Amino acid sequence: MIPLLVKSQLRFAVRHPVGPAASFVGVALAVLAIVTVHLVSQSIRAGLEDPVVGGHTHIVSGDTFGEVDYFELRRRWRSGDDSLDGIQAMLPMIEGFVSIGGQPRRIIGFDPLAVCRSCGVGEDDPGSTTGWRPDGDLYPGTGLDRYLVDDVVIASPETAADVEADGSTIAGIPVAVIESDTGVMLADLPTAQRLLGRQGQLDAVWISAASARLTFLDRLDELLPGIAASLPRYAGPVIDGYTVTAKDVWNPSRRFADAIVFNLGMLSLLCLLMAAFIAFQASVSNAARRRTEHQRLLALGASPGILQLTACTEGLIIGALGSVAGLALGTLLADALLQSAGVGAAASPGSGMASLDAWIVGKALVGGLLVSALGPLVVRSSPHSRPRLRVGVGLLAAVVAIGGLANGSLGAAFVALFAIILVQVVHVVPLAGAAVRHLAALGRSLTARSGLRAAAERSGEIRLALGALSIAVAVAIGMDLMVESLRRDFTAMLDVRLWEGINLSDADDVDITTLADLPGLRQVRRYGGRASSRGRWMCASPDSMPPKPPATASTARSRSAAC
Amino acid sequence: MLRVLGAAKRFEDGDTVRRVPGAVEFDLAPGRVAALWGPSGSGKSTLLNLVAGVLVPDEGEVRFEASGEDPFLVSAASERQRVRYRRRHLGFVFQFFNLVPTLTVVENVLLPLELNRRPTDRQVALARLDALGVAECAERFPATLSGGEQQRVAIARALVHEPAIVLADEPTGNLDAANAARVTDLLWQAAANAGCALLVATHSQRIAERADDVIPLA
Repeated sequence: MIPLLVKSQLRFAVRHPVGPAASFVGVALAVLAIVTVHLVSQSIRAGLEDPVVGGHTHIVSGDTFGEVDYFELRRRWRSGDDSLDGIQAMLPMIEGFVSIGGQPRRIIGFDPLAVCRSCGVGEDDPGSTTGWRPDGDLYPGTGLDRYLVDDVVIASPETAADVEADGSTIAGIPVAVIESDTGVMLADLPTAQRLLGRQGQLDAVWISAASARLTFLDRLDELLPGIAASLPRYAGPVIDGYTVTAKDVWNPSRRFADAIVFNLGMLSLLCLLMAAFIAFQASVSNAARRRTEHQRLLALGASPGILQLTACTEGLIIGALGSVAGLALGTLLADALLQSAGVGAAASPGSGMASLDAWIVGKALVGGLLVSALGPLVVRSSPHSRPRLRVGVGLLAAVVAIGGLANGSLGAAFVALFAIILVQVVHVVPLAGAAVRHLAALGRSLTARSGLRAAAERSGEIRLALGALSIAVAVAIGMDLMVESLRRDFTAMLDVRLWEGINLSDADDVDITTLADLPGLRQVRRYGGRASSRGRWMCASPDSMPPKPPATASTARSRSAAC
Repeated sequence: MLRVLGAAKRFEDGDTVRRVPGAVEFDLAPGRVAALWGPSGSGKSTLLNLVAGVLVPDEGEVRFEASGEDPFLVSAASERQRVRYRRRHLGFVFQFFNLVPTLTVVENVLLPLELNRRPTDRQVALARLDALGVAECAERFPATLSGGEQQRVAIARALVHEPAIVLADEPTGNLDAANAARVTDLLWQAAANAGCALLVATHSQRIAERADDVIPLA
C-alpha cells in the first residue's frame, strides 16, 4: 500500500464529496436492509412457530399408529437399524383437546423420559431431582428442552383428577397461568391419553433427524433468512412401514412463516442489489473523474493493481462508516416495525430495542464492506472492457433467466429476475448506447446530433438510472409473486390451523349432512385443502361460540379469518 | 543505454493504415540529450509513450540496458515488467505538468520514491525543490502554483529517484518565453547533474538546437 496514494485518494473524496456520499448511502441502505430483514424475520419466525414445541425436524406416523409402533421404532433405533441412522432424538406424542372450565384446551402428551436414545433414571435421575416443575429447565440432560420453546405447565397424574374435577387449578397453579402463555397444556403420555380417553393410542413420534443437507440448509438460512424455504427440503429418513413428514409440511404455520421470511429475504436481496448499483455507479463516476490523474500515476510507475487497491481502501473506509450507520438505522427501523406491529419477539429484555447478536453484526458488516468494495473491483474488471467476458456473462444470465422462468418455483422466479437485471445492465445498456449513436446521424440539426452523440458516449454513466428502473420493475413483479405465494400458503395454513373447538379431526367418515342438521350449528363445511395423517379437517360454526382463548396477535388474526 | 529500432504504432483510418512515427532508429547513451523534433502529429508523443512502455509497438522494438543489468526488451515485456521498468528507470516531464492535484508539492516529489519503495526523506525532496527554486512552495497544492513553478516541481519529481532516462514531452509548450527559457536551463542542468539521459519531444527549433542529437520526425 502506498500511503501517498491513499492520502491522495482520500483528499479527492473530500474535495468531491458527492460520489463518496452516494457510496455511503448505498452501503447504509444495504446494511439497513440486511439488519431489518434479519430482525423482522427472526420475529416472524418466533411468532408463527408452534408456540410450544419446536425441536423436532420430522414426524413419524402411520395409518394405525399406536404404542406398539413406537416401541418397535425405539427397539430398531437402539439396535442400530440403518434406516434410523441420523435420528438424534425420538419422542412419542398424542394431541387433542380437553375441556377445562367448560372451555376446550389443547393438550399435548409425550413421554419425557423417552427423548434420548439410552438415558434413564439411573443416569440423569430426572424424576427424583427435578420433579414436575411449572417452569425452568425440564429434565436437564434428557434433551427434552429442545422440544419446548415456551413456558408450559406439566400436568402430572396426581393432578389430572384436579383438571377433570375443577378447571381452575392444576397442582395448585391457577389455570390462568396456562392460558396466559400459550393456551396449550403439556402432560405426560398416560395422563394425556387418559384425559383424551385414548388409552394406548399415539398420534405420532417426533424425531430430530440430522443430515448434512439439513445442516447446510440451516446455515444457509442463517445467512439469508427464508432462503432455505425455496429449496427442496430434506424429506427425512425412509422408515419401512411408516410415513415420515417434515415438520414444516406437518405444520403449515411454519411454512407460512417461511414464505413470509423468504419473500422478505428476496426483497432484501433486491435492496442489496440496488445498493450495490449505487455504490458501483459512484465508483464508475469516481473513476471517470480520476481518469486523468490515474493516467499520470500510471505514467509515473504506479501499477493498475495498486491504484485499484487504493480505490478499494477508500471504498472500505466508506463501507465501514456506512455499515455502522446502516446497523444503527436498521436496528431502529426493525424495532419501530415490530413495535408498530405489536410484536416484541426481537426485543432484548429490558432495553426495549431489537437485539443484535454477533452474527447479525458480522453479516451486516461483511455485507456492507463487500458492497463498498464491489464498485472499485468491478470498475477495474468491468465486462464492458472485455467483449468476450461480456458476451459470456450475458449468455449465462440469459440461460439462467430462461431456466428460472421455466422452473416456475418462487425461488427460481427471483433468480430469473436477478439474471434479467444482469442481462439488462451488461447488454441492453451498451446496445441502447450504440443505437443512440447510430440515430445521431439521422438528427437534422447539429445540436440534436451533438446531444445524441453525447448521450451515447455517456450511456455507461446512466446505468444507475436504468439499473434502478430494472430493479423497480423487478420489485413490482417480486411483490406480485410474494402476494401470490403468501395467499397460497395462508390458505393452506387456514385449512389446518383453525380455532380449537370448531374443528373436527378424523372427519373423513362423518356424514356432513347429518352434522349440518344438528341443532345450534350455523354452518358446516369440509376443508379439503390438505390432508394430514389425522384425516381431513372440518369446520363447524356453532350458534353460540365459546369465548376465544387469549392468543398472540398472529394466531388471533388467523383465527378471525377462519370460518 | 536506450535503443529504438523502428518502433511504431499502426492506426487505421478508414481504408488507410498510418504508421506513427515513421521509420526511426536511434541510440541514447547515459548523459546525452536527444531531441525528437517535428511538427504536431509527427508522432513525438507516441514515440515517447513507446519508449516508456505505456504503448506497445505494433512493429519494431525498444531495448533498454542499464549498467549491471541484463538487456530489457521493453516492446516485448509484460505490463507488470513495463510498469516496473517505468517506475525504476524513467522520469517524466509533461507539457501540462501532470502533478497530482491532491498531493502537496513536496508529496508530489516524494511520490516516485514511495512508488519505488525507497525511503521517503523529505530533506531529499526539499533539496531538489530548492535547487529548482521552488522550495518555498513545498506545502502548497499544485493548483496554487504558476505554470513555471509547476513545471519546475515536475522536473524535481522526474529526477528525485535518480532515473536512467528522463522523458520530456513538450516541457515548455505551455509556458511563456521567459519561463520556457528558464525551465529549459533547469532541465538541462538537472539532467547533467544527475548524469541521466534526456529525451525531449519538441517542435521548438531553439530547444532542438541545444540537444546533443536531433531525431527529426516528419
